[in-house]
Amino acid sequence: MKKPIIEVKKLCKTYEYVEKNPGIKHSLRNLFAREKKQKEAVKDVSFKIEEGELVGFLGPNGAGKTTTLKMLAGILTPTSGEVEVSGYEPIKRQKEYQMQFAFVMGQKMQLWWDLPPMESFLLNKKIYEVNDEDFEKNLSEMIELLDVGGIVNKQVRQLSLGERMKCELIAALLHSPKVLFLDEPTIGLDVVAQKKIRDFIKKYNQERKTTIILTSHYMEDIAQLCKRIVIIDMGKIIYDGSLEDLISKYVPNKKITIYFEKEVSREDVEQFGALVEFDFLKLVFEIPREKVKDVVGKILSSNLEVKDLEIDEEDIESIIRNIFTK
Amino acid sequence: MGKYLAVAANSIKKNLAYRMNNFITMVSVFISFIVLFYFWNSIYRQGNQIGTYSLEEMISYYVFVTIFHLLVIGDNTAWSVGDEINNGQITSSVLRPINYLKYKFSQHMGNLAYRLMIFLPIILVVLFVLRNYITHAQNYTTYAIFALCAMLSYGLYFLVYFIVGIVAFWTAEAKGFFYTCWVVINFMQGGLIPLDLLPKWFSLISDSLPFKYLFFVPVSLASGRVNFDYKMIVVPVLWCIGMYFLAQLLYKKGLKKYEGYGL
Repeated sequence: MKKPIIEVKKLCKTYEYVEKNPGIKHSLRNLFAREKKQKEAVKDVSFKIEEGELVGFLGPNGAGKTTTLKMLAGILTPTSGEVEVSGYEPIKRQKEYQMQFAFVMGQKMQLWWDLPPMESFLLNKKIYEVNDEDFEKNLSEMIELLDVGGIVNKQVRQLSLGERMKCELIAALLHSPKVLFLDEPTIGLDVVAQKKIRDFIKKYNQERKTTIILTSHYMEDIAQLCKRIVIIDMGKIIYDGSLEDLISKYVPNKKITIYFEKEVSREDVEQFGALVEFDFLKLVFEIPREKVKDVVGKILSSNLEVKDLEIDEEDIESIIRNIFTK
Repeated sequence: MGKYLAVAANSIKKNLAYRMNNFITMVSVFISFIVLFYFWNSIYRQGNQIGTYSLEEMISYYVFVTIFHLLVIGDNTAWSVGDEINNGQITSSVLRPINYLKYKFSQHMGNLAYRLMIFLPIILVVLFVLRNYITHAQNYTTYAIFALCAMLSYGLYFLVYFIVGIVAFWTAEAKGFFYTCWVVINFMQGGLIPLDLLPKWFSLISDSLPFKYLFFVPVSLASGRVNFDYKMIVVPVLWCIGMYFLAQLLYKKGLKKYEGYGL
């Protein structure tokens, strides 16, 4: 059996921080005596990832996903435990290891702000020692896939967030890394840009067999891309397995919110499904996934005057809460 | 090697990206030379000598002070390093196969190339216009030594301010420290007042620090006030070596402490 490309055993990371209470009195006190507190960001995390997998790390803010990723990338030193990626210990930051992976953070940039992306691409070409041929090939492929041909020569500060994100991705992938870490890659992007980036990631993983770990707190990112997901909450892994299993087990229902022009009565609407909230002009239903399309069709074609309709995915917080309480 | 050249090139391009900024900078630099000329002229109208400095010598001193400030001293390294540490930008350098010290130095070199481009013409114009007021060294060897000292200064200043900037690993509020360092170093190097106009006891302090050799000594050389002494080369070289190792050490330690905050 082939050795997994990423192996993590009982990984822990504890941060030390200083508590800053509000108020002048505390600020003054902090000048002289500071209370150091500890936060266990990652507790005993273990998992294995095979080459070519596209794995999603899911969890609420502050769960420990980004911290875990940073330890895989060699940015943070683990407090205890073992990490091995592609045969290397990330924290040693060996050049050979760094040439093999890439880390794209949704909120941090490696592109130079005052220059066009192309200049940053060329700099990366030199840093990662990519030869001319590979560089040209990778670059033109990705520019086409992400449709950014018109903007690579515009100053980065003049680009929209979506365009910047696409260029960040390109910059990170020019050296054809074996492993790609993506931290919240679609955060803050509009729906169109999100889709473009997801499609790109999917295609990239399929064609190049790059191992990809993706963190997000958008369910949609994970749903679209990852067959396997790892849910992290409060520093611990609470689920590691296929997404399908998870969904059918823990999130069988979708929430439908309907706004009416005219007041409706309970009897009128109870037939459609389980009513969760009733407010005369606004209703919320919980409908099993498979039945959503059906129910919505029925409601819209009935004689009730519907003003607006929302179909909501349960957000991650509720899903996780569900998992904990069930 | 290619990657560091690319970094330097990108620094130049980045600086040139703003045309209006370039123009305004050139104009303000020119004005600062004119101001210092008239300033010292009006002070000397009271009398003919301050310490051992005649009007011409004083003006020469400050002209060279300004030139050095423009070209040799790079205190923005500290700010730039401090900023990158505080906002987490340094992470992208840590992640990639690039040496952070060399990376910052390449940026520094790029900045120097840029500054030479836009300031050299002005400096030459000023030196020509004020030619009757500038005292200068008498022989070419002194100029050569001066050039060597200036280059050593450039490197050592970079290391000093890199170390100052690294303090940001240990505190999120390093700006006050940077500013204090800048002010103190500027004073200790003779940037405010020529060191030989200060009381004797002060030279005890300034002699034990490298700053005098970085600035006051080369500038005195260039204006022909002192002659060559082997110490002028040896001392900065030793400080450079020491500072280089200190910078590497502090960087490693700081990185260990670095939690990637700001990300």
